Amino acid sequence: MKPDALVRVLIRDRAKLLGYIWAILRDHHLADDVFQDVTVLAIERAADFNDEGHLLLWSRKTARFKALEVLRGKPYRTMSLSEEVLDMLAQTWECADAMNTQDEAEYLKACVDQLTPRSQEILHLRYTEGLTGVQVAEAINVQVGSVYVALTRIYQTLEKCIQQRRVEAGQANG
Amino acid sequence: MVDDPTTPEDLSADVFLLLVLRYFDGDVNATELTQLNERLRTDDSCRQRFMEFCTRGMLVREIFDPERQASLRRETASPRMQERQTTNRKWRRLGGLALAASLLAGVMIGWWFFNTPESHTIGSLQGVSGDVRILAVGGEVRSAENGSLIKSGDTVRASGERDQAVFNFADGTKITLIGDTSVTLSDGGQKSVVVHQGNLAVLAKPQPRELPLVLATPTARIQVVGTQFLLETRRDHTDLSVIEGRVRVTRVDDNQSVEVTQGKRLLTKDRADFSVQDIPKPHERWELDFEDGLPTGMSRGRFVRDGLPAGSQGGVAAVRADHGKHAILHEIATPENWSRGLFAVHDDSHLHFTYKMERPDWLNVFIIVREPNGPFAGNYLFNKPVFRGPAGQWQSITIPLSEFKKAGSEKGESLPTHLVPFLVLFSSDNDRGLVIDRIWVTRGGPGAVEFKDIQ
Repeated sequence: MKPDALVRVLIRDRAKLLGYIWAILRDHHLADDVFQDVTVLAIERAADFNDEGHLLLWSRKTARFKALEVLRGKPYRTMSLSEEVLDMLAQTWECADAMNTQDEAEYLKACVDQLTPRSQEILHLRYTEGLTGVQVAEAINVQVGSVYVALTRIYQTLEKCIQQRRVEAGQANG
Repeated sequence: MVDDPTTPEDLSADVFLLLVLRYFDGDVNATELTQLNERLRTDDSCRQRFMEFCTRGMLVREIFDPERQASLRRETASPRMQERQTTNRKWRRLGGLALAASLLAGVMIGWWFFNTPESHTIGSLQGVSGDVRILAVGGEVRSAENGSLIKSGDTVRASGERDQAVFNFADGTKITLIGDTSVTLSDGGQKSVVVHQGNLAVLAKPQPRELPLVLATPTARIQVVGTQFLLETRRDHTDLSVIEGRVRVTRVDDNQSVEVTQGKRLLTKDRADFSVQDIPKPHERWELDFEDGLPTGMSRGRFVRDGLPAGSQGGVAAVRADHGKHAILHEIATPENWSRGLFAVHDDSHLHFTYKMERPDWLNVFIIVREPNGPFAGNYLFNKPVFRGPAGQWQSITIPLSEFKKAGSEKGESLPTHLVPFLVLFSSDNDRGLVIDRIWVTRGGPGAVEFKDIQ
């Protein structure tokens, strides 16, 4: 693959790949670091990739290897998903290669815009500031349990909204 | 809209989702982790939801752009939260995963363009105003100032809508960054600008035909041999207007190319025609009525359906905006239309809006403008103490554009007709409970400020 095409693919699918890395590391910052490492390696090996599918498969495998390497390097033992589950999730992610992340991002943004400011604030604290449930609870002065319930309900609302928009888009396209 | 979710335990809460949330917090014990592994191992739909949860988590980070982040930052103002924020990596402060991805792309592309062990200086910044930062190829981030030297592969980022910087290549080619803009600059014999997002004004000195200045956006590649043009770049489109000279544009998706000459415009957007048109003039008349919700790009304002004038289906309420040292304000801002402008300014143009305030008091109305060839030209303000009508009463106000005076200027010049408004902003210090039902601009009017009650 040409380097510019490779970069375009990785940028286009960054949310999926980052999500995969995050699923293993559970830390946004470490996930960003691993994503960057994988991308630099991919550019170095651009000529080795036959096509987009090959690139994405390689990227996930490399990302998994590097993420587990990071976990092993931690001074304390960290509980993570089992190898078997990681294998199965890799297949789930592979099936999602066909998912149009741009459409998904547009649906998600439209659905987030419909949330109350309070819900948006909780999402911001959780996903942009990277706060845990305990930290979000402290920031907005509620019980931790309420935060988790709130996040669950927000996520359920977003799931339904996105699904509805997918259906509407499908109907619009005939 | 979703109900306020911060209520005591919800018996219908999704058990699987709760487990996933606590997994990501590192708040599961061995038994619970076993349960999660078991659910993921045995249930296809759980794996699918888990994948979507992880992907959406990353997308949500991109949704909250810097302006929205600022307005929500009040909840993290406690000392404990500030301590956590200061431990964040520096480049994350520049705002969100989208920026991280764009900066990462800049680093990668910088590495790709220049496989040299050391980068050389290719120019400097001037005219720096506001929050402008430089991300070096090696990852170091520093604040930009007048005279900051830029090396090949460096990324320059202006954060706020009124921030600006001018990059001068050694040959005098100028790249003006306007507003929320991020570019990676290089010159390894051929000048190159990777535009990750934002607005540029480009004044290119004549370049060798075999080594034109190249600008790369997510959707287009633009080759320039010597010209002046405006460029607006977003994730899914590139909007180019040529003021002087000619440029060649290649669409990334299908390699289709076209030449754009003086006075012409090209919009590259997914699945749209790739055809050159005359640069459209700003509209003589313009209107926002919110009947179909908030327009795309309107990030400051909250959509409301209730308590509106009879027959209206939508309005917009002011939201809290944290401007740091410039205080917390309550604002409504129209979508920004930097490339074409919102409307044309004429001697007889009038701005109207239908509004109510629960706690009437002064209100600043800004029209923010740029020069015809691109650079930011100032904020023009109407702030006469006229907004003291009855609380909760719907009214329409008509303001001649000639009543808008340049903010921060002792002379208080009126809004010139050659400037191009790209944003209208309503702002107050305290929460007035401002709701706007409709905003519009017309030619002709009373020539003075007038009010009209709305039943």
